[in-house]
Amino acid sequence: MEELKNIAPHLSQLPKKDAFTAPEGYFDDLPSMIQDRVIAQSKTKSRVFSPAWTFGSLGLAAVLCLIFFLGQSPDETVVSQQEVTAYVSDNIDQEFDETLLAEELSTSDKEVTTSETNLEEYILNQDIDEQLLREEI
Amino acid sequence: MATYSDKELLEMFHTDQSSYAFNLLVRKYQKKIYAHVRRIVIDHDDANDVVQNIFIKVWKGLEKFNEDSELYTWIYRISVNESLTFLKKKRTKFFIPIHNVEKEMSDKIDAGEHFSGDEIEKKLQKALLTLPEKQRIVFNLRYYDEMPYEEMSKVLDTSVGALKASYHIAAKKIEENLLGR
Repeated sequence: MEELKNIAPHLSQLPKKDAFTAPEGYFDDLPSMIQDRVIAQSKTKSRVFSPAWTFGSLGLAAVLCLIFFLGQSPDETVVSQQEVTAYVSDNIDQEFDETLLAEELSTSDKEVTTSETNLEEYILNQDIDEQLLREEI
Repeated sequence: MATYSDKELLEMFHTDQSSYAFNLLVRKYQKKIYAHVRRIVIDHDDANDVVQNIFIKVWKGLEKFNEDSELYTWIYRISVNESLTFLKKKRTKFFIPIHNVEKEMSDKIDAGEHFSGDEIEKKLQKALLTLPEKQRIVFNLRYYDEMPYEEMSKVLDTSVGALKASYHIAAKKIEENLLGR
């Protein structure tokens, strides 16, 4: 190779041969080894998608679904929005202010903090029986 | 045994003779592909595994093979990818740093199993192991397979200019290694 003569003159003068060899008869057997693997893979593939497998899987899925639905708790009752409204209007006489309720809900999440001194003051002001309190604690 | 062209093999594959056509294709390319893979992975058993995987991939891909590209180029492309993947897996599997895989391959050359070369040939093969993997592949394709750069460009998806530069650098390095510089 002219190209190599210029780049690597020493290398270009070496006899070029393939020193790697394969075992005796390797190339006679290789096509059938590959063919066997191809057949094995095709069988695995067809087994996965066989009708027996498909119907078997569907049957199993159906049984599992049935078990799931039968296993559902019978105590659960579904209540509609109308039923809830009717219950409230029948059982709660007083009308309540929705705005007040909304305000209460928005403030109820707020964390209430108080100091130890405040607590002591509160207990003293409420005229709580100290003896009874100690027993409770 | 009659030698069929790639076009004839593909035509045969797409008729009802797919298994027969594939068998002929394996017989046509097995020696070239084995030699190419063996130069990359060095060990015969490793080469055997890789070559079988390559042809399995060829079998799977033949159905959708785009006949606009050459079969020979496509098979070589699969060979390069499979060989590189094999070496990569070998490194990650055993957590071996790069030089150790090369050392292992170098020892196999010294052991001389299924290797008919003399001391100079051993020295050349060991010098090749000092090259970066892709540079080694470029050198092998050009030096041993005498693949034209245009063809190589399709196989490796690299520009002709870059391949020429890569071969030039690889050959220089090997020359220096052989001369003990």
